[in-house]
Amino acid sequence: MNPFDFEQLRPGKADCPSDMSLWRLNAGELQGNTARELQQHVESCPDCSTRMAERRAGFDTFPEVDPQRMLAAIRRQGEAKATSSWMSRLRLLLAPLAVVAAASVFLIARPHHSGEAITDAPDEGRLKGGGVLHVFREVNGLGQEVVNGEHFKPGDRLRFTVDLPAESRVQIIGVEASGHLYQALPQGAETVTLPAGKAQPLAGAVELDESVGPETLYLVSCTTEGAAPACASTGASTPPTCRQGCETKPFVLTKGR
Amino acid sequence: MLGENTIPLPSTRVSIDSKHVGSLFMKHGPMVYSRARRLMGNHEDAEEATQEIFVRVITSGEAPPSPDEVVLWLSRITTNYCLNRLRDRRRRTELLSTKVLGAGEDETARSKADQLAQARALLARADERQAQAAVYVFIDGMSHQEAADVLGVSKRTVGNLVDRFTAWAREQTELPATRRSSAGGAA
Repeated sequence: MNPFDFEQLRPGKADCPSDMSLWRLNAGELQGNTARELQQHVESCPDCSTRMAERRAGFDTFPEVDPQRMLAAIRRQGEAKATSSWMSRLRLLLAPLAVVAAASVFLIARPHHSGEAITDAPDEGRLKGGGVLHVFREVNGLGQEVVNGEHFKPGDRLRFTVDLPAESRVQIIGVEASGHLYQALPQGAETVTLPAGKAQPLAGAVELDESVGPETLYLVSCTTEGAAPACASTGASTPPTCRQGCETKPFVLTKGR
Repeated sequence: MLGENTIPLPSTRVSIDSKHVGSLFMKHGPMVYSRARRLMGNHEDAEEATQEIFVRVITSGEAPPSPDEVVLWLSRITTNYCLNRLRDRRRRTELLSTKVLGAGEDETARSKADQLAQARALLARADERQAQAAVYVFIDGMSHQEAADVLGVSKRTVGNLVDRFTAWAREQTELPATRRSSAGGAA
């Protein structure tokens, strides 16, 4: 085999995005110019349109796969193998949460509490790149981190921590399926200023309302100089525009019953 | 001091357990299966790989590095798992070592599937790090920078790994079978 044939193995043409990029685009893990440029390429490239459609179809692309059967086997084997030590440790770590779990909750788009900035010293480690949003669902008064794209039910209560590479003005906004943009946190102020560091909790919580369908939360982190983020919606499937010096990181919620 | 309406959330990420693996699987399972299918070459091995990878996700206690790097994280796990399986398969049968590596065949007549089969044969025998880089760059079509991000190395290191893999692969396909080595040079 001529080793240069390896070049022919790649999917798409030479200037087409990698498999990984398309999977990340499909998962909502890319943002800003990267996402926009990829989307534009996909729309203009028949090959990549097909590749992207396959990703959107999920397991329907693979008729030979029975995802429910496979998931059942995964759960069965996982539960058989899993030790409960980490869960016990987690419960101990988070036990104090149960005491104060009822505080500072508001319905999305219907806030009725004001929030308070966190001032505890964060992790001092420096981070590369932009901010990172971590989302936690309250389960029996404990915080269970959820992944981008996870499914949620009305009434689910969410809390947040952020990783920041530098001191930033921060807010969390949401864009509904209709494209309507609202501010989720902080409550009672446009932004909260947080120092650089990992796992910094944001005051307050969000309780999901009765609406269903996809919804995207964005961590907006801005330089401390300058005006408020002033983000504006550009539609349900594209990141909002904010003032210069602000970055957005999406987190996709799929709300169902 | 925390505000009275603040919950002190954990400073470490929470692992994925069997109750919460469902949404992860339905969202990212197609990617893992697709990737495993491409690397392993058949449905049965790909299904087994997908299943085993998600079981390991549950039982390892490991969590994604961040919510917007889940694809990278699962892709890395899938690549490593499949490369190990290819090596195991090679050790069990040695079926990949001769036929698909025969030099001098009419390359233009080979389908992409044949080429992938040949690639698997080489990947099963190559140095581990070089094989990982080759998968990301040649089979996934990643840029060196993308591959560097996934591998956690520099872009330059990816270039070196790919160059060494290519040189080694050339050696494997140009020399007689008796002179083929079983692994690439150190990365």
